[in-house]
Amino acid sequence: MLESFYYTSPLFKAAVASYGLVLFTYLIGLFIQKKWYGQLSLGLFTAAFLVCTILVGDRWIEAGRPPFKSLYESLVFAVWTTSLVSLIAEWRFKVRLIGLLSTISIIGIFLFSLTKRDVEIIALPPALQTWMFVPHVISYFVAYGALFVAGLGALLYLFFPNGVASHHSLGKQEKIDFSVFTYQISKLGFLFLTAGLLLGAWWGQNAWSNYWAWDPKENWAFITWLIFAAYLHFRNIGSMSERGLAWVVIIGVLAIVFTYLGMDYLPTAGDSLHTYSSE
Amino acid sequence: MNNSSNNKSHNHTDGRVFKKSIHLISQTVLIGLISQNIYHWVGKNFLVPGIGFLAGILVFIGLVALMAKPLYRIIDNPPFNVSNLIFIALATALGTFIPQQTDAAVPGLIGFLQLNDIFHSWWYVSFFALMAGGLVKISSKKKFNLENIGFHLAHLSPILVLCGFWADHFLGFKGIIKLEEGQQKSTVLLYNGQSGEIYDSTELGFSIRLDHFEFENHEPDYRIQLWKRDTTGRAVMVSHGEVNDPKPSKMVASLPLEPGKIHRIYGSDMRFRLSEFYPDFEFEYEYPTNIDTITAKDPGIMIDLKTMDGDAFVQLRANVAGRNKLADMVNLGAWLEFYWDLPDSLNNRLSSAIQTGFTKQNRIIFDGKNQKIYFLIHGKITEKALKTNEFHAMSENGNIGFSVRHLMPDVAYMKATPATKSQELKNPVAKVEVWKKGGSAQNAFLYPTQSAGKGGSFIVPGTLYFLAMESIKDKETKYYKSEVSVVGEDGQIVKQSPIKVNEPMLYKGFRFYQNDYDPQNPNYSGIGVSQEPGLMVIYMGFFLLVAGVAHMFYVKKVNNHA
Repeated sequence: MLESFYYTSPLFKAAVASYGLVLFTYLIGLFIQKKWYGQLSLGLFTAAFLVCTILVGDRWIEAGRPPFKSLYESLVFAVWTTSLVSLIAEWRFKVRLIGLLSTISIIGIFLFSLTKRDVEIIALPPALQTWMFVPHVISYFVAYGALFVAGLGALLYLFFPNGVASHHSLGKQEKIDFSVFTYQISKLGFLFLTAGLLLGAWWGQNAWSNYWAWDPKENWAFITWLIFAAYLHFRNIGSMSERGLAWVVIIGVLAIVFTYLGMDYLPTAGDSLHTYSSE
Repeated sequence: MNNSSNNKSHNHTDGRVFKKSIHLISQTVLIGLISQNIYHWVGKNFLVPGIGFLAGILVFIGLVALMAKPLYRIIDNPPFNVSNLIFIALATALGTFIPQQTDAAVPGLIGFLQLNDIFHSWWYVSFFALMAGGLVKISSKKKFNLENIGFHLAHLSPILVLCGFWADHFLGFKGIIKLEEGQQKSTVLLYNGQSGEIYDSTELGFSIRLDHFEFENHEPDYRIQLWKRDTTGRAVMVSHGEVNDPKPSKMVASLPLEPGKIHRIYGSDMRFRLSEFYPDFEFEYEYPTNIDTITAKDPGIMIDLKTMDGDAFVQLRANVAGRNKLADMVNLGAWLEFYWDLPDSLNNRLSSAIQTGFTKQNRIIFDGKNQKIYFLIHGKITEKALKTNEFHAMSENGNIGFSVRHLMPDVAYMKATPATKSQELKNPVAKVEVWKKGGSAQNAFLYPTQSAGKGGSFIVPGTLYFLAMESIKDKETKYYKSEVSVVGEDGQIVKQSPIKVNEPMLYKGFRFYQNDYDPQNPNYSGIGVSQEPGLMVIYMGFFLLVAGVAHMFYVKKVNNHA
């Protein structure tokens, strides 16, 4: 992994270092319950996100195409969307724990991406040369980022069912209800998940004359959609405990991870058109 | 206290509804299973077209009618519909773990349960039928007003999608027309959308003619690659007695061609940099002009050949065994031989007026010392002066022949300088300097893998790494495109259009796609044809679903706040 890191671009190294610094700041923040410190963490997180934006943009320019073709590229983009949603969530809900968990996950994604680093830049095959490529992938990765953050919220709910104090309220009054947090972020994720799924079907029709081919990846995208649809309905009809709802979201996130990375393990994966080119 | 008991009672009721829902959905699954097996059994044993389907449908409707009342009562209940969503998710997941459509008629339990074709099984489709019924009833019970528009759109649009899907399934088709350039066909081969199996054909009522087909790869993008050999890989015996290669080498870096930029090799003191890139590499040779002053120590001759197989360049050495002759493997029309001092026997025969003692083989003999060329063609000897850069045609039209570039009494005086013939990427070579920190550099010439053999790579001394230069981009397809004409029954062209991947052609309700091509046969194109009467309904459903969800989540909330 060290060797792989050695040969990455200076921008990649800068992005990892930036997020490392953000993680360090958040960890220290566990002991400094000050409003200004929360803002400092958020500011550094925003700066790291900007470095990641430049990293994605640089790859886009170098490849001469959107940087979503290989698993490595998509992982870097997953960092970008997860950061984006985390920043919005932290800004909106003022909860530092989300920033901390997101940053830990982001460092994890970066480390995993090193094992999948594509040394050569692959050209786009004809089927991917369409305007639909960008909105389809962006919709999905915003959805994945949002639902991942929602999953972090669900996880936090299991540990803090009574909520935690907002870092802008100096730990005195305002409490963050992670159940509400998870629901709000899930709604955003579900909207983009729906758009991504349908854009994919539309694109599939144009490229392969098939809007739905029962491809394993399509099926698992559908399963993920069904799990979150079930979660939203369960929550609205109030027939499940908050704890149960948190578990449904966590199962949904695991389904996303499996949809994203687990297709090669399926016996039906051989015929899939949705494979990443990677080392 | 009251609230608590209300919640308990609410949860208890929900629990009962969930139980009942699961019970009813399971019953529907069972009905779907029984009906489809009746359809298959009747279809197999009573060879009347359609009778099996009719029997299956009748059984399905009959059995569902038996549970119509409880089903109708519960179908709009949220727990019922959420349970149904979970059933769909589980069944869909099952279909990704079991290979699908391996065989149309799988015997045994797998076949009975339709597990080899879950997504087209009646029990799986039943979930969607229940969903559609549930959504209609749910939506009809909710007040139709602006505030609820998002709710209605989100819950009714899946029905549109399902209707479009079923319309395509029952009324549409997918097929392919396989065409060679200049060919026209009106028959479409129909295939199963999932398995790809061709099962029938249909007539379009007009023809499609392939006027022109083209495909192109991406432009080459040569890069310096750094590879690492894996010494941990062990040779493994495989079943047919051969031994596998050890673990393959792994590329660790691919660097753009940036002359002068220094790269370090991980875990070593070695450095390298590209010093020069030659797009169309050749050596520029320089030899002293006054060759008479040079002692004939190691004589050689450089000859440029123009042959039927292309241009070539050879060097013959008089005093090196096996390198003073070149058999006519290059289709020049004669062997080439080079001597500085002609052997006496050969000299006698060449100078003799009687041309005997030669085989029938055509030969061109270069006499370095006397600067003469002897042409032994069809048993006849012709003598010419050996002058550099003078072309000697070996065919009437001058397409085949040769010229002497340099005559060298001693090849040690030859100075060869790397150069490029042009800026076109015809024969790319990279000159790379490799050195140990603080040491002197050595040059390496890297060139890509040729179709006939390996590329020129360079093992970095004292490391597991080696350098290479390749372009992988130009091995990837950039695009493929068919120019087609639609030819009416009267033979008139009614439409002409290109068809590319992602850019289908529409004509009379049919869609024509660029589906297939064969890199080995540049004249072939596979044009996909489909008729999908439900497609626009599906697209409409897609749009309304996204709009409905967005409205329900965000717009309605704003209204509430207002």
